[in-house]
Amino acid sequence: MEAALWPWLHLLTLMCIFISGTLAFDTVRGTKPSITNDTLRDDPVGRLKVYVYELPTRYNKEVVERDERCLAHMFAAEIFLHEFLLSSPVRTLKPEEADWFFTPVYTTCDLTKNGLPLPFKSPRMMRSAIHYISTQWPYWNRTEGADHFFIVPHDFGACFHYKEEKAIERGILRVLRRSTLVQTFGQSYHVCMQQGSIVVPPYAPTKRIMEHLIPPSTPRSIFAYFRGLFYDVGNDPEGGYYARGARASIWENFKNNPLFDLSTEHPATYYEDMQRAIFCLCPLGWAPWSPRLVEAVVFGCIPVIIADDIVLPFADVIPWIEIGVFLAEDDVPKLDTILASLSATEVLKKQKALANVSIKQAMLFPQPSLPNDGFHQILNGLARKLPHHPSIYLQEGTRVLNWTAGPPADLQPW
Amino acid sequence: MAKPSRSRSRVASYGVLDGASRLFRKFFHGLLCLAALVLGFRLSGEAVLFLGTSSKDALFNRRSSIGLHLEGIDVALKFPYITEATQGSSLADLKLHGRNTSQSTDNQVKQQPPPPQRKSSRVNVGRHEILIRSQPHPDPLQSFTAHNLLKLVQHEQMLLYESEEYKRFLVVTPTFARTFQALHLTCLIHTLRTVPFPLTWIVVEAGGVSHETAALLSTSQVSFHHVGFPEAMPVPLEQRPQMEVRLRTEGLRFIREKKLDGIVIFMDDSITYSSDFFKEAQKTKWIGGFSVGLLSDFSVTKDAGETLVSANEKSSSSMPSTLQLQGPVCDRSEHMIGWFAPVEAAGDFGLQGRGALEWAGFSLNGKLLWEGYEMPAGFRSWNEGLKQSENFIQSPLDFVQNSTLVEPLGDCGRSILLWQLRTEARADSKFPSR
Repeated sequence: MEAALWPWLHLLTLMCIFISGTLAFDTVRGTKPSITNDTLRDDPVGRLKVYVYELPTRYNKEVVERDERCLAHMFAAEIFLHEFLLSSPVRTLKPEEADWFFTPVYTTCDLTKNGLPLPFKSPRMMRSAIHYISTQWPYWNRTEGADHFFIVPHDFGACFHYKEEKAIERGILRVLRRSTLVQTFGQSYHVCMQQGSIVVPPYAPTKRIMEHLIPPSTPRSIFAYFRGLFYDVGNDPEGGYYARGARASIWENFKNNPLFDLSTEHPATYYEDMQRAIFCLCPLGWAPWSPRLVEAVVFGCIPVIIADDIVLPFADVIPWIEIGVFLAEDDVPKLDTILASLSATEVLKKQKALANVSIKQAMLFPQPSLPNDGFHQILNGLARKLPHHPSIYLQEGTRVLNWTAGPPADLQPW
Repeated sequence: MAKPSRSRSRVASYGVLDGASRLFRKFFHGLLCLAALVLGFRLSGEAVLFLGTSSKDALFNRRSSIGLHLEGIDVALKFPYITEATQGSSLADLKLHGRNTSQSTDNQVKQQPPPPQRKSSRVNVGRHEILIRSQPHPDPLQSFTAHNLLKLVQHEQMLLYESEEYKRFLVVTPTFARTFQALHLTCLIHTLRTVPFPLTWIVVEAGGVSHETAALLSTSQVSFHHVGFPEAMPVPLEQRPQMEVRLRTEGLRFIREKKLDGIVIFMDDSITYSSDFFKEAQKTKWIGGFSVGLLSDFSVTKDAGETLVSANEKSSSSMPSTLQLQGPVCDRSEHMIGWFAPVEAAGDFGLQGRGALEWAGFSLNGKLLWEGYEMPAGFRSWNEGLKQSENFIQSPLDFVQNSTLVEPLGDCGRSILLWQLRTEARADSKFPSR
């Protein structure tokens, strides 16, 4: 009897495994992104209302007045988002009808002599700002920040440190744990990657990019292009630490390859060269994201993304897999094989997908704001998270956030 | 479906396995399959042994541990800030611990159901090995594929952004058999092969059709017409340009007789071209003018016979060392107002007079040469042009009554797309031995 039944039992087990496997597939991967052209061109006006808190100027204006360079570095999006929201139709002056609340605090504006931001005072500044809004308005305490959003464009987001181990040690700032974060950092399974955060591209100067456009009929004669550091001699003289050794590996393997245009110099024709290249390498640096991605997308150069587990900007609306080539860091020695093995039809298809104007618009933060730009995509992202789940509204007087947790240096007032 | 028979035979042969243990094996196998689907990598039965230990972290820190074996203690001494990271398991614990404390103390109530406890990332902080492959040289096959890809992408770009109708080029080249002919003609052949437009090459040879020239042209893979001109090229250098003019006239006559359609350009063997030249020449409507750079800052010493142009002897006192060029000049509204042709830069060998402008800087519409074609206003027909100077065309300007009808190409003459440098061999040199 058993012998006759075994084939059916095998079939049944196989079917069960198959079905459960497909179900598991979906839950592990999450919901399939609905990638249509329309989502990039959605108009957020009318779909949400944002209330902008009026903080004292020491949190925003005075910071910029102290150092004007903040308006041009790659974290300038926090300043421009504030300006955009102040004059946007989604802004409401009545906080009772607002869906989202924005706190304009410029935490990344403490620059060194060389223009790099120091994050040491940022947690204190952020805590101080949140303390202010929680005492002046009742809306923070209503949800402990679950309907508030903050823009934290620094290296590792709300972990507020540029060194990765320090950032991991600190973790996301406790008081921001319930809020939505808009950040440039995105790496799956990372401590500093908050669930439900909106990943945005770093700020790239739109006007300067537009000034350097060349006619699209210029033939693309560079195969692969990269300009940037391979070894960070200042911070990592021996190599292997910076970029997890990936950039050094690119240099050692391909410096003699005539197809790869690699150098550490910053040429005057950087933007024009990118428009003459087919592939632009976008390896990770100290953090996995870089402004190269923005430049590559805007200039129509296929980005070759070498950063494991990276979460790319607006990944739910931009079909990155159709636009770019993804490479594991372990496969860097095989980069030339992989790039040469792409067929011409694939490359042309990617270029055609890249030529989508909405994607280019979504990568930029122009002033004044233009349709479908990065600001609108942030608002679209926020609108897609509505309506708020009723459980975010806490009972009167309950507190879930721990205000005293974290390194003691953070707890000092700012 | 061969399994049942195998298990049956195994049962038959061993007789030890009973039904319960078989069922357990099937169930365990199914469980492993399911786990493999969920986790994303294959689990073998031995994975059961690893479940207890923390060596899962060892799996994830593979990349860092390989490098560390080489550096070992040195790393820890020099860079104390990464000692935490070098012990990969502790860091992974730190990450997980960090997330655990946050989740337990904050009791986050999320809008979606809380995420499942995620595994630690495959990538982690710390020193990683710089992966260098043993054979760093580019693979020639891959280079070939990559260049092919470049060509295809550029072709696609051309189709997308430029107009699809290309006019044929009719290239007129005067030549004669001499020592350096192979050098010059090979250069010219290679240039013509890179031109992406259809072309017909008309080679007019002084002294009649010779075998050397014919042999060279047959290797060219360009469609050509080899026309012979009975007179031989004169030996004195000053008389050569005039002969070349006659050869070019002969080439134009060939076009006229065969009624070839296209844009006529005059490619001499002493000229280096930029690939943009051909793109610009496509824009010619009737007659176009380019700026020609003249690399004749060298003095020419006259010996008996041919001499090499030598750079150093008569230095800059006699010739100006600034850029020599001839070309159209435009006013602000991009209309042609005249020519820039300084006397010092009057081509080579001191050509004077109206024929001082190099032929190479002009492109003609072939229809101007046809018999019976109605000339546009201001243009002279072939016969009238011949009458201008004793039965040959001295310059393409003979076809126009007013030189402002010439279309200035190459960004109104501001881009120099062609450069001329005459070099000829010494009388006693042998190049190349065939």
